[in-house]
Amino acid sequence: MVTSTRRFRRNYLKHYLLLAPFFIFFTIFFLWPILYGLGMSVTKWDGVHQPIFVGVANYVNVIGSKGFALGISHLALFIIIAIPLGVLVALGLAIMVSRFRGFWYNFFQGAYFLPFVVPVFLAAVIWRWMFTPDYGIINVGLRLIGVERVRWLNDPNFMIPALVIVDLWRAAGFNVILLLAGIKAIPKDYYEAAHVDGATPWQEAIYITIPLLEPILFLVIVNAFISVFQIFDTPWLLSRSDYNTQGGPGRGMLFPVMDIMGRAFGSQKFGEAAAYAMILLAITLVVTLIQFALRRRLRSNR
Amino acid sequence: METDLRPRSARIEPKGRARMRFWNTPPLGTIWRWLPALAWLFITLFPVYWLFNVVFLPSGSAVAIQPPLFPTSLSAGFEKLGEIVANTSFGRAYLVSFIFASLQIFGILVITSLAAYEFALFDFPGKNFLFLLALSSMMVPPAVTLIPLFRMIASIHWINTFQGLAVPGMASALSLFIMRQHMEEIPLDLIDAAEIDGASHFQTFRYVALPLSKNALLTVGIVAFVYAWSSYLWPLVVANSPNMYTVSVLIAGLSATRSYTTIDQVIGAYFLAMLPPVLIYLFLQRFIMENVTLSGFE
Repeated sequence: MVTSTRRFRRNYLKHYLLLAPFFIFFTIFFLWPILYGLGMSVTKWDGVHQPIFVGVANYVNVIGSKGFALGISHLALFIIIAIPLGVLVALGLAIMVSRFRGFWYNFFQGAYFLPFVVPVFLAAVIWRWMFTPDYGIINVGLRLIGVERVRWLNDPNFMIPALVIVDLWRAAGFNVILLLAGIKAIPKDYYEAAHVDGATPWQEAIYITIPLLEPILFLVIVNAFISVFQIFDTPWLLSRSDYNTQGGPGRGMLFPVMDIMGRAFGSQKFGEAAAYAMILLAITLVVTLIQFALRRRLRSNR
Repeated sequence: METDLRPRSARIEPKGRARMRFWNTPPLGTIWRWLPALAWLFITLFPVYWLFNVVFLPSGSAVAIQPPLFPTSLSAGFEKLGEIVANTSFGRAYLVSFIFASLQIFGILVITSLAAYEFALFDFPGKNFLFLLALSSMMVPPAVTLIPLFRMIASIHWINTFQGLAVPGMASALSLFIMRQHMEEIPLDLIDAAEIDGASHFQTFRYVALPLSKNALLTVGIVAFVYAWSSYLWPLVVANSPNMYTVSVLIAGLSATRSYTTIDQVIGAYFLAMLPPVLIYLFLQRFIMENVTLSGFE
């Protein structure tokens, strides 16, 4: 651009002035903390005394720690169960709701979205109450059909499944809304043509709906991954964590952000906590970029 | 939303070979649609219904031994809820949460409407870079900025203050995005006309664009309220003194300590905490469905 400084100012200054409030706040409360955190991650710091430069020691400590291994393995397990299940349930529900018309379409769509409006912290404590071994309504209900006392939040075998249930309950409705918007955008002609050819609803779903929903399915999946890496409220509250112990019995529900909180505010290892946060950020970025790259490759192969 | 205008026969009867497939024949086809739809409806509504049910039962009901399926005493429910507001610090937490949410919403609306106006309607060098920079922040786990932010807020003595709770969340990328999506609908002619009439850039924003963005402001306001009301991680670290507890922090603590509260009070508090967002949703459902959920993600 070859505009002189004065002309540039006359033309664009007004735009930057109105953008300024947002980007000033953005810099102070988002960009600067990231840099500050990066600096913090290479120091040993208890929050009281002077920080001491330790290089990559914090990163080495975090990656070698038991908590990191647990956090990452829970993350992996949760991703393997919750994401495919969540996408399938949301897709199934969306296709089903799309076959209703008028009142019932709006009713199911509206009702399914309700859990998403319930605050996460509240969803966690309500489910924790319902999961109580002896008096919780879930076990009371299970007893009626002959299943004996499941220790949902104390038996490490059931802790991740319990978390998956709460997460599915909450997130499905939101994804259903996104997918329904996508289904609505599919031209009706496609279905009419399929109908004339005698396609079953099942075939319509497989050959028309799902392929044409691909962009929204991709969005749902990317979003699901990003929120899994950030997961905190639900496992923290389900497992009754505090700054001193996180993840419940056997730390069976320990996730990275919970571990970060424990390291920072429990053991006062701010440097280590900042390093863990940077590792989490790197994992999030890499996984998201991989998804975009995979999608590009799949599309170009088609 | 839209009704099927085809004659009834065309809607119900499948044609050709499909007629023979078992689940496309009317009775089973209907069951296949209704059964899962109602099953998920049950799963969705049950926790909310169960909470409501237990609150409006006489205190001390043996819920676990013989679960009552319907609330039996409205007066007992209101008595429990009244007691919570009167005898616990819940009322105060409610107030803290509302002040925190209002302050944050106000900041978000001012800051993001200004920026969204520029991103939606004008061109300037660096526009795409700045917008992508803002959006990319949605990908960053809050835990990354949490600890440095806590140290910053502590160093300027904003711990346990409303500004400490509300200000760091004001540069909200999600709000900026939703606001921009809406503001793109504003006709450029109106903006040009105002500027030709001699309105300054800011006046055009204030007197032309803003009045046309009421839907956008309401949408972002609702989203921001639900987010603020639900936020737990940030209040947990920044509002750690009991007289600054938000509803989220208080509720989380209630059941962790189980000290001065009975189970009735705990459940009642859950119920009260759920009311504001759920009531907003029930009353503005049509508006939310059309604006909030779709605008942001299309």
